[in-house]
Amino acid sequence: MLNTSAVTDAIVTTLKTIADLAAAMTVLDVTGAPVVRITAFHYLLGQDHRLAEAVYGMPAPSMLVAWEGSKGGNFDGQTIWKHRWGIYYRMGNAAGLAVPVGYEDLWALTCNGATAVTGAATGPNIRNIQIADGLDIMDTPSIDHALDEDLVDRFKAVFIIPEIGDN
Amino acid sequence: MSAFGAHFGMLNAAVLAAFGIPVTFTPQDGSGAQQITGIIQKPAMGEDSLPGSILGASVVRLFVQFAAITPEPQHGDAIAINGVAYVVADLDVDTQGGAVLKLRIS
Repeated sequence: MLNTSAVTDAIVTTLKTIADLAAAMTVLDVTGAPVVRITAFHYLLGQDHRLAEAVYGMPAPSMLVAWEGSKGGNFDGQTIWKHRWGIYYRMGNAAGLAVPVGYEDLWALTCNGATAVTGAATGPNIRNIQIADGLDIMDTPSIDHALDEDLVDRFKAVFIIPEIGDN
Repeated sequence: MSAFGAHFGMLNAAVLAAFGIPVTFTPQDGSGAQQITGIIQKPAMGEDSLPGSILGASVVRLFVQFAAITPEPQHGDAIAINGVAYVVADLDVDTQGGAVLKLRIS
């Protein structure tokens, strides 16, 4: 079975190559340098918050990728593992923007935006690439509305990615 | 305003004077930044840093005298607490002129 930690990072890397998605998640840090706020969560006691707090405290805008479990079973002749990741979204402040990037836009960019993982600027979308060695292309992803602790809207997508064989 | 409302206004003003902290409110109408006073309330979830500290908690509930602020705060306005920038994600206005601004770090 694959170590999903590396895949979590690979998902983050891939999402960052979607130019318009990365642009929507980019802010300037205190030095004025651009920072793409698409990050991984690894449950590292002593380094990370608990996942609930990490999601609660996500700045606007930002995205957080966290592995949330793996399902074992005989799915077909060559698939015995399906790994699941949660993709958490916080959109940026749309006040005063002529062309705001809302949750619908972020989801469309996630599903349809061209990745650049192959080096080409207009590669296939994330649904149709092998995000990491040993993985198949993902099952059709999903997204659902959620409310945070202050009853403010947020969204969470789910990527389920089958592993090829048993690595 | 009713006598009841007036008394609540006085109560809010007294509480804010005693326990409030200065924050910088920047409305989106372009009227410029102004200093207002607010009280940081207990958040929905505890975080690892103090609200408004240099590191800054990510989510802050800030009580203000809503009726005394011009223009009235609205979604998307900016508020800085000790230099930490927040956006007004939501606000709960009460019937007596106060409001809790729900701020998210931006």
